[in-house]
Amino acid sequence: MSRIRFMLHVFSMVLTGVVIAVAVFITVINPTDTVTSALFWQMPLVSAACTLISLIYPWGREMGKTELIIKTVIHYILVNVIVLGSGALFYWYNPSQFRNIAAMVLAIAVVFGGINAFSWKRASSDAARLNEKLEEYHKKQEQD
Amino acid sequence: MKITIQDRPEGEEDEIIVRCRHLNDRMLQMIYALKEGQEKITVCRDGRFFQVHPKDIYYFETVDNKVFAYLDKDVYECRLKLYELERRFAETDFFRATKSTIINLSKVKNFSPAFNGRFELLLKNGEKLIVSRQYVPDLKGKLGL
Repeated sequence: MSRIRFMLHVFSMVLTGVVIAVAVFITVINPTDTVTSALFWQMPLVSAACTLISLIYPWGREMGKTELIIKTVIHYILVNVIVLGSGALFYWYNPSQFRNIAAMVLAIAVVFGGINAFSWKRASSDAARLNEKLEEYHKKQEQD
Repeated sequence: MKITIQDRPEGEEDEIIVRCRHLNDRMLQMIYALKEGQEKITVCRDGRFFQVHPKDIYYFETVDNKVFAYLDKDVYECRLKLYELERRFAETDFFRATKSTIINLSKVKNFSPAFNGRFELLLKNGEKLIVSRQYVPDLKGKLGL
């Protein structure tokens, strides 16, 4: 997968997560009857910004465990800064109310965790398919 | 596939002739395997040179601009660069797993997911290595996925 394809894949997952989080937010946490059309531009814009942060992970070289953990923490912090900052700028929530901030932080954690869980599940099924093919490969080698 | 073995007169060189309409992947792999089977690779350790069979090598790794060949228990230095090895062992069991490693697929026991689009693989000698996400598509292609 090229880096651009990978980024587009991340973007689609982040956008899906943001749309679900916003839907939950405006119906359950901060009920609103009407939403502005600008929201449909704000969501992809924030998702794109969150996707660009994934550039902190190097593409051409391997990371050690410590580097991976540090970069994941930095990634999570930056996602919080971007979503909370742009959310306040676009009036998605009221930054003066603790309940609103807490709900936003929770929504970010759920989306971040959800995307990682989804990626892990997908990687697990990919690994299972690789193992099936590997077994076939070994059997074929034994026959030859 | 029909296999014919013919007797050759004394003194004549052994010869393998492939008769087919198209060279498919399986045939190409057999030809490469025959070629690879004849070519041992020269490695060295403690100033002594050895010839090892590629099928005995688990993986190659670059460390500080030196390339090492890892066998079941032994490690040898290899004078070839990683890109030269990659070219030499293209179409064989070896595949590029990271910028610094080339792994022998026939020595892989299993794959498991690792974070960030990577996979961890367990070798038959118990060692664990990483396949970076950059090289995952090549690996899938090699396994026909």
